[in-house]
Amino acid sequence: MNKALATFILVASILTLIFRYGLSSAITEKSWGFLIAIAVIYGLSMFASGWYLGKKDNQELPIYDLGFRFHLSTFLVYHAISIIWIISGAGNPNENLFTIYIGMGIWSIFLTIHAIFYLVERRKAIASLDKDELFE
Amino acid sequence: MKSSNKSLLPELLDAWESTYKKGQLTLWIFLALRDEPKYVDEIRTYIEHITAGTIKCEEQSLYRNLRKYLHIKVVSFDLRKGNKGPDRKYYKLTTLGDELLQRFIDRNIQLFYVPEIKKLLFKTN
Repeated sequence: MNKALATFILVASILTLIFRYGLSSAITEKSWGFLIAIAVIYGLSMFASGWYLGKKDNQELPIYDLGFRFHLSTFLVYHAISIIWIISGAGNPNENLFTIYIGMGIWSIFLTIHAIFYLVERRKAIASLDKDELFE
Repeated sequence: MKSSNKSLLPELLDAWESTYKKGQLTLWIFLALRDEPKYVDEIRTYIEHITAGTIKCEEQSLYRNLRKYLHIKVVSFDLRKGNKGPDRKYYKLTTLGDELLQRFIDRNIQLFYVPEIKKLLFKTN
């Protein structure tokens, strides 16, 4: 793990915490407009931070992983925080683990497809670095 | 007609050189480190000096390349005291790096020393 990925995990954790808080509040207040807004803002900010820190990550070392480390980190951070949020009772009573597990199952399919692409494309790398960017 | 062709010459040379220089930085960094271990600023000035200024490299670009070479273990470094401030990283080629450079030279640079090619390289009209 390098500095850019560690920063992304930290940023993603903070954004997810804010999102969970906002989501629980919106459900409690039955404020559906706010719920949609916070979901869109969360999605966009996660995408923007992944984009920016992914570029930084590549500048540091051109690790050839097709963004898989960032995807896996997002998956783990989102679900870990969501599960802890609900188990700790911080969420709205209408939020439950079952919904989280359904989301996790669907997301796992995409994560697995991404992992397969990553494993297939790994032959384009030497010691995990992109062959085309190794020597300049 | 002939003079307009000649006026194109600097532009054509620039275009060719900019393509030619891409991919050369590794060779010059390795040569600089084969000379003796150096810290980043020394590598930069050494390369500019031995290439008579035709290869210029920025420190950021050198750092990025050295990080990659460290990762693939063709370069390592020793920490030595600088004049002031923190210790300096003196980069050097590892055995793998030196062998890689030698193989590259044997396959790509020695070619220029083949008599037939050498004759063409230094042919003047």
